[in-house]
Amino acid sequence: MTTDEMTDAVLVRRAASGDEQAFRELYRAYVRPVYWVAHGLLRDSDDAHDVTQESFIVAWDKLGSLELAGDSLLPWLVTICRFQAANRLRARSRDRARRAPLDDRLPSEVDLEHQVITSELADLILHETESLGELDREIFRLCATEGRDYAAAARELGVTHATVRNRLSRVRHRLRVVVGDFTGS
Amino acid sequence: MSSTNDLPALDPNRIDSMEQQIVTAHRGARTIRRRRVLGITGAAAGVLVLAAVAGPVVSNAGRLPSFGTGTAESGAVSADMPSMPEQFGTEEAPGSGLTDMSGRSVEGSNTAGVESGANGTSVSGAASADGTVGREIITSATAGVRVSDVVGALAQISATAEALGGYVESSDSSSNPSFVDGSSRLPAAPAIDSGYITIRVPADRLSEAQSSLADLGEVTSSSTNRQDVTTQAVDLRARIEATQASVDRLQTLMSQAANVADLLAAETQLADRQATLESYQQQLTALESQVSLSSLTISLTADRPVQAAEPSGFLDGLLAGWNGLVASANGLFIGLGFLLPWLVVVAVVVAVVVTLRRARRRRRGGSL
Repeated sequence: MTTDEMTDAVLVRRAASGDEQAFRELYRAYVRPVYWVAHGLLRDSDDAHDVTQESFIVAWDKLGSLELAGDSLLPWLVTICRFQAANRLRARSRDRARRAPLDDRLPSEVDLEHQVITSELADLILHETESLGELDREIFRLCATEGRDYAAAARELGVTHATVRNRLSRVRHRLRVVVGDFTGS
Repeated sequence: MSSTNDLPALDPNRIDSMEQQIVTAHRGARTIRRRRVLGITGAAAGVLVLAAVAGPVVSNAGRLPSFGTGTAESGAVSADMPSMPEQFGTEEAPGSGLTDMSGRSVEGSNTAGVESGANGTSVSGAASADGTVGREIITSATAGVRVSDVVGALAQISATAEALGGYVESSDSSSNPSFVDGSSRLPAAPAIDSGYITIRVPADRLSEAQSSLADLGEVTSSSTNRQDVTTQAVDLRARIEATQASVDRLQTLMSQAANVADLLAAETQLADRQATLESYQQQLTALESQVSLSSLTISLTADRPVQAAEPSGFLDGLLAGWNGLVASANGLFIGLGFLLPWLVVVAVVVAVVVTLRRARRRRRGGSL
């Protein structure tokens, strides 16, 4: 979550309508986690810096069409970062293929689109980032470690999350009623 | 390749410089996007303006110039056209010659625009007794006039004819049912929009009559036809003289008839001769009448009202505005249709350029 009483949703709306300061706040809040994810995928700090930068540029462009599912922008940023990292990996492999065709450090046959970070790294990142809500943590994990698409993951989890939330709130309500009866209020 | 347990550190300076670059890139992208939108809007607006201009031009170029007013649009108000040859069918025998002449006369209501322009003056036929002093000429003229009020013009022409010492020979007026003033909301009272009138005026006053037409409205056509009938007149007179002499002789014969048989024979012949004489005399009278009173046939058409009748009231204004909008929109669509082939060509060229540029960019971006 970002500081101040500003929620991410408000900042996103503002940034989409042209407020530069709002975007800068989002950037400050999430530049580190995004960098960590980029580094986790690319293993090279220069590439990771470039990819982080590109991710935020692209993110700013796409803010207008974003429907934020949870409370945090991070999971969405992570999906963009993954996409940019995949491009970078592809370019890297093309370069290597041209320069040193016999290099045995060529990347494996794993589909570059679905490079993911390990779940340990994901846990570490979540630990270091200011506490995300439950829904957002789940979406983050799905996107970062399983390479899922943000909208699909959010929808899926949102449904589950909403059901969980509703159940919880119903429980809370019943408790209140009970307590109320008990205390006579 | 092994994942560390420490997360890589991010240099604060790096954070700042990245932030700056992100902002700069975003601003640049936004400017590019705005310029593109402006460009497209400008192009679209340009196309619409072009269409709006081209529409009317294109639709006008296809239309023939139309002079539809109903009268024979000869267009030439005669002023200096060459005069007609003066002899007309003078070779024919008097009998047939006369019918011929009457056939060619312009009396009645169905002749307009006889295309034989001549000058407006008429030579007065001095019908002398022996036919040797002046020529005897039948003058007939036609004219077409555009007036604002057909009925009123007809009345005025009649008055003029009488004032000049002539009379109205025939007149009629008609209205065209398709010509109804669409902008007025009165029940469709068909306006009198055309009329014919033939007047006879003394030959020496024909030109006055013709020039008086200019006071009625716009004279759109005018022609004069002159026919020299001196020979026919002379011929007729000669025959009359001869027949008269024959009648006189027969009458003398009858008074001196010796017996009944001779008397009867003379009487039969006399009757026959007298009939012939009367016929010739009638012909001569008619001829002389035509010579002394020229005929002028005028075709009147009503002035079409100006299209832009001032709207009288809100509904009229609304209707006028709506019609104007529809007309402009129509013109715009015509123009767009006209421009469409060009736009297709331009679009194809632009698409090719854009795809080439994108391919080049992708190739360049990939090999970073």
